[in-house]
Amino acid sequence: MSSAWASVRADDGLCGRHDRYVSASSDCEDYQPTREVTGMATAGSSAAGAASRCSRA
Amino acid sequence: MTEIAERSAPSAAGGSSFWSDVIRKEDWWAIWIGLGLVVVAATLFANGQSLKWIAIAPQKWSQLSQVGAQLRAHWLQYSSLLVLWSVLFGIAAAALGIRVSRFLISFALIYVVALALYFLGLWDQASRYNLEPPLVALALGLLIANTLGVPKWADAGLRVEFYVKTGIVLLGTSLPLTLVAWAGPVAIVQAAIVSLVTFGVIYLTAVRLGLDRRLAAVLGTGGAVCGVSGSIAVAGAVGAKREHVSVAISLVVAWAIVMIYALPLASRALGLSTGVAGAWIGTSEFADAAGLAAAQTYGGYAGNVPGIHGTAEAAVSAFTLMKVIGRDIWIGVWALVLSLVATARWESTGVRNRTGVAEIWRRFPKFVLGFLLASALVTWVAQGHSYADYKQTVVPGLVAPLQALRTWAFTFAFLSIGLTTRFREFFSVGARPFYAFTAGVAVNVVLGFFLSTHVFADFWTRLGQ
Repeated sequence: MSSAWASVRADDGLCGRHDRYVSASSDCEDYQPTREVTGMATAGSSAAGAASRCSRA
Repeated sequence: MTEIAERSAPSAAGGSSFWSDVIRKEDWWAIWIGLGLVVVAATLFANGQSLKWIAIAPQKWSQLSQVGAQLRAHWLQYSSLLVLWSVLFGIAAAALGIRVSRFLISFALIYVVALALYFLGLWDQASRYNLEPPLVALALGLLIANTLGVPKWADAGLRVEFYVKTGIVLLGTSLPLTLVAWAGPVAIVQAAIVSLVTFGVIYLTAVRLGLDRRLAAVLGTGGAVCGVSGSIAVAGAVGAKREHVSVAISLVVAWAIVMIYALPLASRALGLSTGVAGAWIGTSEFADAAGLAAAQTYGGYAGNVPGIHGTAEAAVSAFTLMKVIGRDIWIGVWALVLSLVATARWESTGVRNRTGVAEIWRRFPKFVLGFLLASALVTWVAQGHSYADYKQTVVPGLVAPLQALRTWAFTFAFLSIGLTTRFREFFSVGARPFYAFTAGVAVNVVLGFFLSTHVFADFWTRLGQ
């Protein structure tokens, strides 16, 4: 009964390392930049990447 | 329900902007489609024309031969309406990244079944056999999904929330802005009381039962604010575990489906007026789509079931005011407050949250803006007309065709609820979350009933007149 494209979801993502839902403004404490990820997201704490960075850390 | 994990991760391209949201959030597409139809209808009306040719709806019938006659007489209109919906929803599906070919095939099937359900609801014996379209749509969907199964490709067209949001934007045309301004504050007060108490009961019961505070918050918001959407929004805000969200979704959906049948049945047994019942459903249902199914069902009793007073529209209007204005729009505030509490008071999860006030707008259910704009537009168009003139010209020429389109959109949603619900997913939630959530349900239903039928009863009864 809910949609992944809903506004209330904002830009939430999944942190694969901690298995948690995270909001777009989150930072992962275990984040370690890699070449692949650095190429994807430039802002350090912006989180569209938070989920993907977490999962790769 | 199944797309929670599949599609939650944001694009890796960076943060979101207003313009990217406009393209990739279905709330905005519900506004473009719903409001676009309203603007076209208003423009046609201003030029002495109407949208009613394509906004075709079945008429009352008593014998099957009359159904055949209606279909033969209007087949071109029904076909054109299918094309119109397919184009509008298809463009949105493409923008959202849904495979369009699959969406269109799936949607065509949904449209055909929705047409059959629409006709069924207009059978002159339908209420005698409890064949209200929302209930039949739900039951049919549940039966198919849990016995035969739904093929994967058909998922593309089962967009419960998208259809409901489009329908709610269209619903704005039936609620004058003056009525929204008059009833909105009462809805907000009643909903705030129920939301705070329900959240408190669920949260405290869950913590007392030894559950994680984040799970307690996710369950509490699901029961108190806006169901599945509320749970997921707060999960992101507090950093809940993935399994917390699954548990909350299962409980919200299970109870929402129970309430679709239970609340109209109880209201009918108690002889509540449509406005009062709509307000109760608005406080005690957990999801917009489920609540609209219950409210539309109860509205259908008006004039068909002896002892049920009020208009059919009053049930849906009271529900919408209570649920959408009273509860849904506050989700950003809940997310912000709980995020701050989680950061300051709860144990660290390894993920730091930097939520700010902007969170309130980021999580605001934008489709509500479309609902308000649609209401304002029709109020403005109707301004120069007397009440008698409004009934004679504005309603049949402008409002009624948009109401018919709204009924179509809601029927697509009701059918999709059943087709996306799998009973087996309900059995893995565990006893303690079930007890905590159910405690909140019990308090919510009783408190919502008391406020709707005693404290604010006069107000909601007047809405139905």
